[in-house]
Amino acid sequence: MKKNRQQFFPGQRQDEKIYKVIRKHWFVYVPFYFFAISMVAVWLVAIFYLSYFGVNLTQLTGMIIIISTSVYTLIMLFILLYGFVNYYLDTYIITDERIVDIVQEGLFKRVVSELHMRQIQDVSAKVDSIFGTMLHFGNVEIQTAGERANFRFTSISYPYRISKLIIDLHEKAIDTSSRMYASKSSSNCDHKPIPTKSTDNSSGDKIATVPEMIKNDVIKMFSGKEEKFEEGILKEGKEADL
Amino acid sequence: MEIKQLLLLGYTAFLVIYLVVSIFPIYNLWQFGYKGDLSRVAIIVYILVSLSVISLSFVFIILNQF
Repeated sequence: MKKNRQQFFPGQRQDEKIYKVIRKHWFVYVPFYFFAISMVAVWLVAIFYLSYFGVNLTQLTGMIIIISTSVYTLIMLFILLYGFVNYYLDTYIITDERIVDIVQEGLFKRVVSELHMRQIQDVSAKVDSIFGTMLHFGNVEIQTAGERANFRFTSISYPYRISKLIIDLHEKAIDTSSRMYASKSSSNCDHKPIPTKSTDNSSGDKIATVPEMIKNDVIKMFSGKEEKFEEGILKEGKEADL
Repeated sequence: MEIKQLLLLGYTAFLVIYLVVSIFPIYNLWQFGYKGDLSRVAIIVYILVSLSVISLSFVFIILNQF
C-alpha cells in the first residue's frame, strides 16, 4: 500500500487546516546523544591507547578488538536510532478543529489521541527549569471538559506561543460552531415546518395544530419569540419569522 | 573449528540480527515520518554509518591476517 506522506494523522480530513506540527525540543535528545557518543569515545580511546603504547597484540587479540569495537559501535548506533525514533515520532499536531497527540512508545507501540477544540476548557503554559528558560522550552497543559484526561505537551519550544495559538483556535472554533448552530436553527425554521396536523379554518386558510410538546420545545429554544405562536395553533408560513 | 573462525561466525550472526532488528526503527521512521522532515535523513545516515562500520571492520580483519 502506497503511503500518503501528506497525511499527518489517521482520520485527517481533506479540508482540515494544519496550524502546527510540534515536536519536543532538541534539548530533550541531547543527553541521550552525549551518553552514546561518550560510550563510543571511551572505547575508541582504549583502543588507541593499546595500539599507540605498543602493547603487543597477537593476531587473535587484534581480531577480538576489531570485532568487539564494531559490535559496540553498532549497538550504540542502534540505541541512538531507537532514541531518535522515540523522540522524533512523538508529535503534537494542532489543526483548526482538533489537537492530536501522537506518542511513540518504543518501536511497537504508538498511541494517537485527539481532542476537539470545543472540548478545551483551559490552557496553561509552564517553563520550570534553567535550561527551559534559556532555550525557550516548557510544558503546555490543556484541561478538557468532562472526564477526559488532560492533554500535556511536554518540553516543547515556545510554550507561551503555543498556548496562545490553542486559545485563539478554541475561541474561533466556538465562534464558528455557534454561528453554524444559529444558521442551522434558522434554516430549519425556514424550510422544515414543524410536524403538524392540518385542518381548515372558517376563513379558508390552512392552519396547523402543533403538538404541545414540540411547541414548548420551540418556545424554549427561541425564548422571547413566543408571541409568534397563537394558543396551540401555528399558522403555516409564520415559521419563517422565527 | 578454530577460535578465529568461531569469532567470525559469531560476528556474522550478530550482523544478521543487527540488520533484522534495524528494520523496525527504519520502518517506523519511514511509515510515520512526514514529507520534508528529518526522518529520511536519519534513515540514510544510519544506513551509511552502519555500512561504513561493518565494511571497515572487515577491512581491518583482513589486514590483521597479514
